[in-house]
Amino acid sequence: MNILIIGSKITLRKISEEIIDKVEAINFLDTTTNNYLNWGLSKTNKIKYYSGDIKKIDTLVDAGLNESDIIIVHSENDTESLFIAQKSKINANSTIFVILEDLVLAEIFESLGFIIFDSHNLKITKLLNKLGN
Amino acid sequence: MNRNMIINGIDNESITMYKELLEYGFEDIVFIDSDINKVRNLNNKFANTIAFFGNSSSTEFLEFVGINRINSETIFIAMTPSDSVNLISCEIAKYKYNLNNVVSVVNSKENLPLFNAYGITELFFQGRSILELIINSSGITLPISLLDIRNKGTSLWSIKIPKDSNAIGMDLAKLNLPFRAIVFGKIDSKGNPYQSTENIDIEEGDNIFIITSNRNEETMIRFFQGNKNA
Repeated sequence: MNILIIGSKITLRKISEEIIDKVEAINFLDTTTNNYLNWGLSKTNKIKYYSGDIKKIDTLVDAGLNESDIIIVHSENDTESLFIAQKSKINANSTIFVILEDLVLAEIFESLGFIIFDSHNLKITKLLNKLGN
Repeated sequence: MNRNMIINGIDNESITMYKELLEYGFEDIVFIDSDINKVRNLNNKFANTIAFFGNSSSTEFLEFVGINRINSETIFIAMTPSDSVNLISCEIAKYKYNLNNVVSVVNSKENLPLFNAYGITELFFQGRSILELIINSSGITLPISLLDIRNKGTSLWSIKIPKDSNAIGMDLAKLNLPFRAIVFGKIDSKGNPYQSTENIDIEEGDNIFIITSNRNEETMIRFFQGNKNA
């Protein structure tokens, strides 16, 4: 499976460390690739890094949105994360996970088809199941 | 039933807008913004507090300013310069509080289909008319939304046929659009109107009038666009 990870929060680093052996490729996208400099995953050739205006569709497509089976978003704040998640929903077959700081909005966006994770209590069972763990 | 209005986003026009809304009979209006200075500046212009500082994605804050007021019909308007803030706050208003009157400004054209797709259909695109006029006069086709059909996410569109359009020579009565639409007819370059039932060819400079969903805008552009501009 191809994964697109949007953002560079520590939660995304933890997730990518857990799934790297279970996927074909991970593309990371953030406003700057400098945010990934200290990540231990940098030397793995499964991984590619992209940067740009993450709220623009062109940036998302350049980072591999069309080819991604799974998209994981944890951006600057919940509003931005949810906006990017909705913007990324261009392929009915892709699954989009959103990591939120505050779960008060979880119910609304789960009903719109997104899978919500709690950044303060990160349990990624649903993601691992999707990967066929 | 009483009505209260929440306006998300304060800008230079807020004072004028507030006064005009009062003249239209809206008395219960509050502005909200995440910039404390904007809130202070607006409140300083009035004897009573009309603006509140807070996060528009916080349901606690939205309830504080009256989004779920009992026995009142709440009108929610998002007009911040951030489309992400506008979209999410409108979705909260629509899906969590079941508001029927939700209106948003859209700052970036590429986000218009996104708002429509998630049911936020009362939209104002900043600068759209000017942009469309400039683009159309440069020979590239852009549909112009002449009329929004309220609460439907559908519009009456006008499309000017450019020189290299693939549609030139097609029979108006047999126009087969790749999306669901009602074709009203055309006005030719001399101003003569024709109904869509008339067997007449589409020509350069014609304006075609169509009712279709806003989400078909990009498809419409591709269909009517000329080869040189494709």
